Amino acid sequence: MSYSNIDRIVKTDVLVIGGAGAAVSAAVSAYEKGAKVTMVSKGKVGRSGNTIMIGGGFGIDGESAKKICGEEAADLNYTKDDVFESVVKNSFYLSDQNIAEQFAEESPYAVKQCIDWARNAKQIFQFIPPATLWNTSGRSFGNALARGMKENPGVDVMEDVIVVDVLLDDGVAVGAIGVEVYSGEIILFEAKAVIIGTGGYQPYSLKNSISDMTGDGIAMGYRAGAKIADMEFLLFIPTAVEPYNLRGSIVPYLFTVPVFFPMIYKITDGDGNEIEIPEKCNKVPGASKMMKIILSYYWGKSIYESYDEHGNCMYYDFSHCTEEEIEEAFEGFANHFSTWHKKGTYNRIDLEELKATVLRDRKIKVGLGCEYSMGGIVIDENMSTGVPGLFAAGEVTSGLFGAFRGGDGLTEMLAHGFRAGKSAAEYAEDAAEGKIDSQQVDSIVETIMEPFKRDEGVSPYKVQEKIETAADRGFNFFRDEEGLANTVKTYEKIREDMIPNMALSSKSRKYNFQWITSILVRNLILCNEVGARAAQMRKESRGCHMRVDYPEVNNDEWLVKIEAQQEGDEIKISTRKPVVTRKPLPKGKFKSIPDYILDTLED
Amino acid sequence: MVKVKVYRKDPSVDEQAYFKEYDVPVKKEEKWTVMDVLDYISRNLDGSLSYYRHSACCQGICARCVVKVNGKPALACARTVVEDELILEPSREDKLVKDLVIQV
Ligand SMILES: Cc1cc2nc3c(=O)[nH]c(=O)nc-3n(C[C@H](O)[C@H](O)[C@H](O)COP(=O)(O)OP(=O)(O)OC[C@H]3O[C@@H](n4cnc5c(N)ncnc54)[C@H](O)[C@@H]3O)c2cc1C
Repeated sequence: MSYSNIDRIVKTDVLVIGGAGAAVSAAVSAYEKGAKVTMVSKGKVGRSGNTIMIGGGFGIDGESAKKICGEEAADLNYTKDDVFESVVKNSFYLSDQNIAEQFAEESPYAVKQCIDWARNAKQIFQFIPPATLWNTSGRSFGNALARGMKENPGVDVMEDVIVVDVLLDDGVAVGAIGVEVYSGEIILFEAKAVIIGTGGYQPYSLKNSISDMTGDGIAMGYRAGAKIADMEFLLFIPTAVEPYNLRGSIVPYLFTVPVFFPMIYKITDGDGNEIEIPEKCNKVPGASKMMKIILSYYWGKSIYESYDEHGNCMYYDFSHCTEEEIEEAFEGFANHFSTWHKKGTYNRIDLEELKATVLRDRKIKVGLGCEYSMGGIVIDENMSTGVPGLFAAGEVTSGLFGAFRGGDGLTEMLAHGFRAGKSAAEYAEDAAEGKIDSQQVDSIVETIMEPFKRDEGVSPYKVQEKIETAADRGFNFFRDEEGLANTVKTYEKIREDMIPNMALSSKSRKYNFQWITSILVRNLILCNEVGARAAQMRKESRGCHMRVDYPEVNNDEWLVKIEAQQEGDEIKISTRKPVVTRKPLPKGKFKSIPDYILDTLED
Repeated sequence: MVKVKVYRKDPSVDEQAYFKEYDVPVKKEEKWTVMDVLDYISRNLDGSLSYYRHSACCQGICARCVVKVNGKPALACARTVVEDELILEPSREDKLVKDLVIQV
């Protein structure tokens, strides 16, 4: 069949959308099962996705680290059961336990494959005994993944293609439509099974994540009929704000880890007053993942309280530190990271220049930036989305981490990819060739081409800015009813008034990033709107969802997941209990998130 | 204010490349990067400008935003603006897609 509006047709068995950890792992595992696999990615393999933004490492249980991955020094006391337990507990019990079981059970095999690629690519994945985790850098991780593709040349890879939507034949996934960014060509993919591995979503203007994070896969899955859940939960870490050549860097987060940056400094608010963390929180081990919540809670609350005046801002204040202390701390930091970075740098940051700034100004301006989105497509333990033929893997899913990612996103993406590839290959083996619905193709193409037809209208850049600043204001780390209601209202307005009125400055399809943005903002607004609505609905605090007006963690009424599904043009929202396999759901209420964490700390 | 001269050419329309000039309110103490300058231009002055932006880490990791800055190739996201005048060109004209965007 030929289509007047399609420039190219690509046929495959398993179409994998994405080009980072989840996608590579999925593509290789489907290929190993004998499927014909095409991987299509917005960015370049190994150079895209949040996989290359990482600050640290990832782990598995000790026995597997030793027996499967060959790390002799692994701590055998940390078992698969512990992995399961800690993910579920840290999720504030919103984890779907079938997914947590899969994570604990299957991640070692997927991790083993990845560290082999790393070794073959001569990348350093440093095992830290007795812990059961590997430390590396984003660039090294990317290089390991690129190596994985090189070792599997049978997988077809198409880079710099943005997939727009999944195609359905009577409710069954049978392909997708994509746009090649450089040429502007529109590509039709025909496939027997589709895996979405496009990463999470990032709602805000301050970014420590890569620009891939417009939630494309979550939105595509939703439009294809899959459920999405947990969209109100976003994880924050300290992120540089100023100067601009530091902006977005997670160096301030890395400064909070004593082994990287052994120095005590103060945290102050926009007015210079110290933000203190109550002493009782000292009980939370510094290395514990829960520390991330504690920091976001106290720092976030202070930022929230003076947001109108100062915005997303606090300061790392070094005024009481001696010159020697600063010199020494920077020296230690630079040394540690020189394993992966050019000596004296951390990614683009010149550490000497940063040290000079710290010595001169004695402060750096920092905000809270979003590192991970717990929400996404609902899956089962086979990574099936419930839409036949459609699978999902990695951060694009929901289910594993619930209200707080108390495990490793990197391990998740590999474990998911490993399973999704197998499931999709098995499905494709028995699946009949799907029928492409030309009406759906026409409608998708018409929607994305529409901004070209308009001579006047709003710039897609403006739309993105509006979406992000509305999230900054009302749907950030700390939330209240009024802010959330306003944000939801703003999103309805943007959806109704701005999205249908986007126009472009250039009619050329060639690397027209304004046009690309017009496609991506449709995804971002869907994710942000569902997230803000779920946050408004959830009248409690839990994990990374912090409400000033509902500070209690309320297991009696709110130990439920909020899900959204498309119904006609409406977003249908419902709730359900998380899947329980072996750890019973707790009851009771706790005064606040820190109280919950302290009360439930293991003795 | 920094004067920014930007190489422009859409090979499917233009026979010759030309330079377009923009005034960008760079404050030196804020340490803008070339990427900040390009974002400013495209969002406020000229939305038709093409430069690498679709899968951009902005932290010097993906290394895909190479442009020529005053004659020398640099990562737009990692190059701080210290000059009063900038000339921005594609890093390789033989691989030109449009304006500052090349495909390798
Ligand atoms: C600053 C930062 C630090 C982090 N540190 C750690 C850490 O130390 N340890 C840890 O475990 N986790 C960490 N994480 C989280 C972790 O990086 C992610 O959870 C994980 O890498 C997600 O992998 P993924 O493959 O699911 O998605 P991603 O790595 O985000 O990849 C998504 C891929 O999909 C492609 N894509 C997106 N949209 C489309 C589309 N429409 N069409 C085609 N392709 C598309 C992208 O180009 C990319 O290739 C960190 C995250 C950030 C932001």
